[in-house]
Amino acid sequence: MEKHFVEPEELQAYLDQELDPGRLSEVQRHVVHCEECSTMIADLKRVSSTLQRWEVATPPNLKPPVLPVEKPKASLSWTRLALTLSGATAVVLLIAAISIPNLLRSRMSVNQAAHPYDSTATSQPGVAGGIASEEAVVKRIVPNPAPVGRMISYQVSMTLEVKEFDQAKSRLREIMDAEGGYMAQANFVETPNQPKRANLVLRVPAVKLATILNQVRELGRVREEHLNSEEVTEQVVDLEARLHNARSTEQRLIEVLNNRTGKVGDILQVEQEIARTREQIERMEAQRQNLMKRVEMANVTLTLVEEFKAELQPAPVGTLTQLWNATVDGYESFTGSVLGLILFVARYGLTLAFWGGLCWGTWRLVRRPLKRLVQSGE
Amino acid sequence: MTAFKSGDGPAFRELFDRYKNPIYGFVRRRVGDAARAEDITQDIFLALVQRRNGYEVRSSFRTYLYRIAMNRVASEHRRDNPAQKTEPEPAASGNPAVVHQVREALGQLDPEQREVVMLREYQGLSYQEIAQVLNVPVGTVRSRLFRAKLALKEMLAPVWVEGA
Repeated sequence: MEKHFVEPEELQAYLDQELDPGRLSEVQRHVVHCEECSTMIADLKRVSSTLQRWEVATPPNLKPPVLPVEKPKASLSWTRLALTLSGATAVVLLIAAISIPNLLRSRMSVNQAAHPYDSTATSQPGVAGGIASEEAVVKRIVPNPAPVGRMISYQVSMTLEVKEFDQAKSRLREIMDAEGGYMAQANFVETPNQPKRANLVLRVPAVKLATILNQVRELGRVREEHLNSEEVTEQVVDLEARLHNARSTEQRLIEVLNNRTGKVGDILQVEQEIARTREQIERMEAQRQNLMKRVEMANVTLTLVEEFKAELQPAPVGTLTQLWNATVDGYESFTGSVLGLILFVARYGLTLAFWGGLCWGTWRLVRRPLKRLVQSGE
Repeated sequence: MTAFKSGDGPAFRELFDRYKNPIYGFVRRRVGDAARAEDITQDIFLALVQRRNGYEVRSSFRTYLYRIAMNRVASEHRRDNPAQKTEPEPAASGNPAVVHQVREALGQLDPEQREVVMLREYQGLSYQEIAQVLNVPVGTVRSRLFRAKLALKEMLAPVWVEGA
């Protein structure tokens, strides 16, 4: 019969061709004659083939990720340096030529913005960088009675990733307090092992929208930003005209009622008509106020997300780290063994001492009689 | 990988084409949602680009890539709310009942044994490579694999009876 000298673990390694060549041939020779090992190998093969039945189909449209564009490394040469310096000087001069007149103009605009209802303000509304500039918004918001220029309601949605969530939250409150805005809605979500999240609806003065957005952007990294604007000028003008007509009608009806000469039925009918017109006027005034609020206060839907610190540490552990880890493990193992010994003595020391003493005393007592007995026997 | 490390774009494309299927399979067997698995696969290759300078030419590229994949999937599981965690859906191909039993059996294994079995059976990594990915000795890989196979033998016995 063949001697059974193969470890069971070696059978799997044999199947996987993971044995040394010398050992492989030994195991191979053994397996041919050993029924037990042959059965085990058959079972292991069967497990592998069953596992292989869990297949995963790769989607055909799996695309590679978009790689970040890398800037080519510039090599420093005197010619390039001279060209770069002259180019930079030209750009600085160009920027100065453009910005100085604009700076002077913007100072004038600030003066106008300080007095938005000043009839001498003549600048035209405009849009800068996707979001209306402050002076443009100031011109759009013209109070009662007659709207002049364009009226625009702004809706901004922004997703911001912040490093320090709580700091960003409190800074946001400060910005709102300083700029005259407020949080209309605030939902804070904090789930274990997940980044903190806040869904906020901010109402901010439209004239300060650009300033506030700039401050909010500085709180973190903007992941998403959308701006929707809706021009409501036509709606307001239409509403104003209808309101004016309704007021005139009401005025005429009141005059008719004051100079009443007809039948009681006619008078009642006029009164009903006045009530109906009044209701219309009040409804239109409410609509107008609502529109004006939308124009005066922009809506900012802000999602604050805490930056998730994904742990990616694929770099292999260095030799020094491994050495340090081994030292720490060794120290922990040593202190563990000492503590274990102390605990053992504390737990069983008294019992062992008692039984040891008892055995030793008994042995001392019976040793001499036993010795004598042995000697007398001899 | 050496060409890719020195900034060769087509080399990355070649690496992606070569490893996209095994990496997607690796992720898909561990993440419930197919679309999410696609995103994570892309993230893994992106992390490979971002960390290509950390790769040492003397070590196996496969090992390096699977270590990134392992960390990324672990990170995904940490992010997942345990309450919302979904079981991986069975793949479209194969007998669904058998696939279900295979997944059940793997799910009952000790996590350390399961990783070794899955890296060996589905990714075809050698014992040495598995040891490097999991940062354990080769002997540990061998014993874990054998013990896992024994446990699976017991758990998958009903499949063979039904098949017979």
